[in-house]
Amino acid sequence: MERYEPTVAGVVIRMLGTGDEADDVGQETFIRFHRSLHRFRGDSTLGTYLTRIAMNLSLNALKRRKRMRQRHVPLDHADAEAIATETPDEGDLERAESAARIGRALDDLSPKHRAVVVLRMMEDRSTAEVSKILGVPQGTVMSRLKRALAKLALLLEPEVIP
Amino acid sequence: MSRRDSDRLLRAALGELAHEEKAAFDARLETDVELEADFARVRALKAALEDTSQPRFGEGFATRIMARIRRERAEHEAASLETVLARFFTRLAPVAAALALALFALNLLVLDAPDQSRWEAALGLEPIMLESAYSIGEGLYGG
Repeated sequence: MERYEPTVAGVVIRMLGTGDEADDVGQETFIRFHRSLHRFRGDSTLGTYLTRIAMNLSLNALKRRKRMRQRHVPLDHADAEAIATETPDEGDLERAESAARIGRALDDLSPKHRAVVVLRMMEDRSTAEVSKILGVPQGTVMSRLKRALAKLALLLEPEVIP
Repeated sequence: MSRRDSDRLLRAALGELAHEEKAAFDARLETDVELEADFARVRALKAALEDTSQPRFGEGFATRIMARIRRERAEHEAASLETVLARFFTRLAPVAAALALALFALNLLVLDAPDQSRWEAALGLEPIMLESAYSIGEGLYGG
């Protein structure tokens, strides 16, 4: 569990932001994995299998959030930075600020677009893996990524991207 | 920019171009200023996204999962016992009903007090007669 916790946290927190909901989805990911372990056929790596569960649960949580018309919970990547860095220096603060901006920009993307950015750009999964995880053709991954990056560029210029 | 160019640009930024394609793309970058600017923008965006730190769950995440797994397992076991008992008693019910009917029939067959009601006889109750009332009275209040 310790080995794959960062993988799951990377997907879930980047999709949902920090907080109880992300923690619940993270727990649910490992529990579903534990329950379905006997069905795991080994045709993908454990990391990919877990990522797929985490992403599906995150997308469901976003749908639920939308359905319930919950109050908007902004992705606060600055929180994650604060946890990771106990005594931040100037460089860390700058990074945290930039990460928070990226988090807010990601939050403005649709779940489908956010999913490809998180997996392909932030989790550094290959296009083929992203296609497998999301269950869409590689061409769709690339076209979603292109649209998502165009929107992100608009949102992040000029502070994060010169 | 054409769609083909934008596809190639993205694939180049992701490092997905084959060797020959990459060489052709690099050659174009040297002559196409607009393409070069777009490429630099995508690369900057990619670097910014990669630069975000690895998020982590709060302290004690593994402990919370183990507690949840234990709780769910206990609930599952309790539910399993309930299911087993329910199945056992459902199967037992027709047998019990048949035995009860057989007992009723036997009680009616061995009926030795013709005045007793059929229901009381079927249930195996002692016939209530005046004599019984006296004997109960004697027992309670003495001779």
